[in-house]
Amino acid sequence: MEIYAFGSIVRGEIDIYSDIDILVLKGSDEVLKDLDKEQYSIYTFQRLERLWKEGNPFAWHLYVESKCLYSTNEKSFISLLGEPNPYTSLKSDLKKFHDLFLESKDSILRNEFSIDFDLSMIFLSIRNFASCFALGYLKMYEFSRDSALKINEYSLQIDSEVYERLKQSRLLSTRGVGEAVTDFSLIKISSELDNIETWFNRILWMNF
Amino acid sequence: MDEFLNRITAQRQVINIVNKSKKFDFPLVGLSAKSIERWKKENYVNEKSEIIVFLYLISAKLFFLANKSQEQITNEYKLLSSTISELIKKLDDQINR
Repeated sequence: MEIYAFGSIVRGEIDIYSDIDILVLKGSDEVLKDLDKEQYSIYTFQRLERLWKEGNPFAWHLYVESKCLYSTNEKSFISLLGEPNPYTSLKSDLKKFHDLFLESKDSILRNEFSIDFDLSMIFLSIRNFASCFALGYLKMYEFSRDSALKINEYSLQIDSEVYERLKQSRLLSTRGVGEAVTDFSLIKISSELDNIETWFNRILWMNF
Repeated sequence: MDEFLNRITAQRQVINIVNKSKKFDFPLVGLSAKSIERWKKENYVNEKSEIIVFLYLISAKLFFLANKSQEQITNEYKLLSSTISELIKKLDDQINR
């Protein structure tokens, strides 16, 4: 077994939204008892190797931003894997996260029963879309939570209160922390949805 | 549809069932264990209630699928997704009883 830290803590970014991302690598027959599977990202060595071969964004994320905390070997598994293969699924990943945005937006417009979950998904779609675009097109490593605001001229221009609320809904939906969105905030967020969609479309219409 | 999007649609379906019932003051906002825990505490829902049992089961199965590699999903996906559909139906029946 090997244990790694990755994400915000490795970037030295700690704030109210930060959690500690821990990756646990194990052998396919290795049994890890009494482990909270939601708290740790658990992968087999074989699966990680496949992600490396695919050039998966998560492999790139780990390659760029992970630190080995525990290994019984002289060299950690990730350092032995070296650089992942080139990232080639940019188009399909961008489409996937755009679809997630559209479905979440439709759900908000349809009824009020899953508002915070939908806002959380909108935040996820924006973040992952930006990280994939940065990796596949800009050749930039941008895996931070605020990746959509950090991709130079392609950054999402968004009202800061609306953006904060999307982040808060993400935190509420994943970690159960914070308060549900108010009607007032929702009106403001709804007025920004078209703006967010324009940002998605501007990038999607580019020739990759 | 993409399996990632399918799992999110299933989560949204569960959240809609719970919140549509208007039986609970605090909305269910996600299917992570921490999110279900928060919902349970805010609404004083009994740990052993069938609704909680269904929510944790659905959550665990969706989480299990999310952590499987593509090859493993191909063989298990149909079986597990039909189990999840059955659980969602049971949850719906339980809430609207």
